[in-house]
Amino acid sequence: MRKSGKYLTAAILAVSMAVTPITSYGFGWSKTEAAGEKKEESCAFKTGDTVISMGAEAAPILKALGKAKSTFEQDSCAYQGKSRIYTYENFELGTSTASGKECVESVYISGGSGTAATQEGVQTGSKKEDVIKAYGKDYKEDFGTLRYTLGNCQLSFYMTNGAVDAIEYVLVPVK
Amino acid sequence: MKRKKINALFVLLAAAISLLVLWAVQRLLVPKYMGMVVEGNLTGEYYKEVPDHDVLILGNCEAYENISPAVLWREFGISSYIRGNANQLMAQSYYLLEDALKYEVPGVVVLSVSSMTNFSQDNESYNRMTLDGMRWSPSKWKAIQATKMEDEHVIEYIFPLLRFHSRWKELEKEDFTYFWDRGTVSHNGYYMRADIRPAGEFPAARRRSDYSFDPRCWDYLEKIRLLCEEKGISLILMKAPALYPAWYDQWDQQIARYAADHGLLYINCMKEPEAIGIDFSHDTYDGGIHMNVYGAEKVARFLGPELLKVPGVSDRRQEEALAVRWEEKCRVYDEKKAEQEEEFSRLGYLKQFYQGQ
Repeated sequence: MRKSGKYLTAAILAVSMAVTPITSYGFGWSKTEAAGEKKEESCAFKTGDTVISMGAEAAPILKALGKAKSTFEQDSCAYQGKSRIYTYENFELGTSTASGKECVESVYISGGSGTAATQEGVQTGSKKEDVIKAYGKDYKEDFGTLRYTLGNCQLSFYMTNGAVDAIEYVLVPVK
Repeated sequence: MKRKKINALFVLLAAAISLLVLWAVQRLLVPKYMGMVVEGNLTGEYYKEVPDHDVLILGNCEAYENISPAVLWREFGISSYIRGNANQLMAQSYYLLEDALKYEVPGVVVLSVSSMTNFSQDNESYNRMTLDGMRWSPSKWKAIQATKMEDEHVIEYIFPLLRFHSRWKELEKEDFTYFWDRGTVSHNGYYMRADIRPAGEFPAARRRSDYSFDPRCWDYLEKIRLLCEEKGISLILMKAPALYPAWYDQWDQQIARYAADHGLLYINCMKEPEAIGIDFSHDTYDGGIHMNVYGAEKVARFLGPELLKVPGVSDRRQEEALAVRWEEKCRVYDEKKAEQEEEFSRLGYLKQFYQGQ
């Protein structure tokens, strides 16, 4: 091969080698892959026959629940997602939408929510001992709030004067 | 010898071509933020400015959507710039201030305190929007280190191609149109919206077990205060008018206490609705969460007299060179406002931000 041909080949190889490692290196860091998805047990709220799990797709749940008393919608900053809060008779359902899919993010039961209760029978007005009896002693207590974490769900019992005055299920990252 | 020189030149040429190709590919693949989401341009636009601002405003969307620098100039002669971005964290505000102070020393920094409510980022996109536009400096390095998420890597900030390589499948016309230049999307950092969506009802504020701010947010607030003190800058803390999310009384009290302890002015716009003249049926584009241009202008009119009381801030409308620059800025501002008003009046929405609902 003539020298000029060798040089040309070397130049082409140099450009290719410069581009290829960068892109293949980058391909190994896909941001769209979920990091080691685990199937974890999660706490769920049940109302009637409808079970609401944290992180579940919202569409079938919303269909089963029927029309909400009110719906609040908020775009995340710079349209990076959308949050909604659906208010039903005795609880609120919070969802977030990212990449086109609406998923359950939270359920909130407050003191004015009538007789809504967790599947284990704890409701607003229940005592701290009732919570511990239902959920055990593996909780964290912050400022009077009892907090249980099960998989991707954090279940919080807000207490005032020794009684539950609000209950919240929240989607949390699995650790 | 001659042959060796030719070989060396050839290798250098090949290397230069490789780098040029990589640079061009990277420039093509990084997001241009010229569609519905423009915030990715806000940080970088600051460097196009002549650094001569008496007021720098820092913070998240409560900063860059709620105050009109054009009105601060036009009605008070105050030259200002908003260094804000989507979900800009306290740490990022600190490093952006540190960065800005390499170019100018304002008389006042106005800091939006709503980002005291969370230290950590919840979406990588916000970090990219805030940090990619920063010029490389120790401030940028430290901002990345302080706020990158668990699955972010510093090298992806050094070489954005590593992060955005997969966008080759999503390239749009704007990636080519804005390959060289994107123009300017903000008005001295202000994000203009002239559409109107009246405030409706909001869910009741949820109970919290703990109303304390993250200690790291306090650390960066203190760093901002000390940096301002060191440079002789007056720091004003501000909570913008927003009906949602809730700004709990417990949070407000903590900020008020901090301000009192350090002799700082703290303005909670939510406690001054009549003084500001906010009409939540007209002055918001998203139902009461952010101000539109009408609300932002009212907030600016409310802040102006307070800012003029600060030593080092004065009415500079008689300074010819500055007045000429601001005349052009105000012309562009008025033009954009008229354009958006016409479109909203005709369509009932703004095409650029319409999500098809």
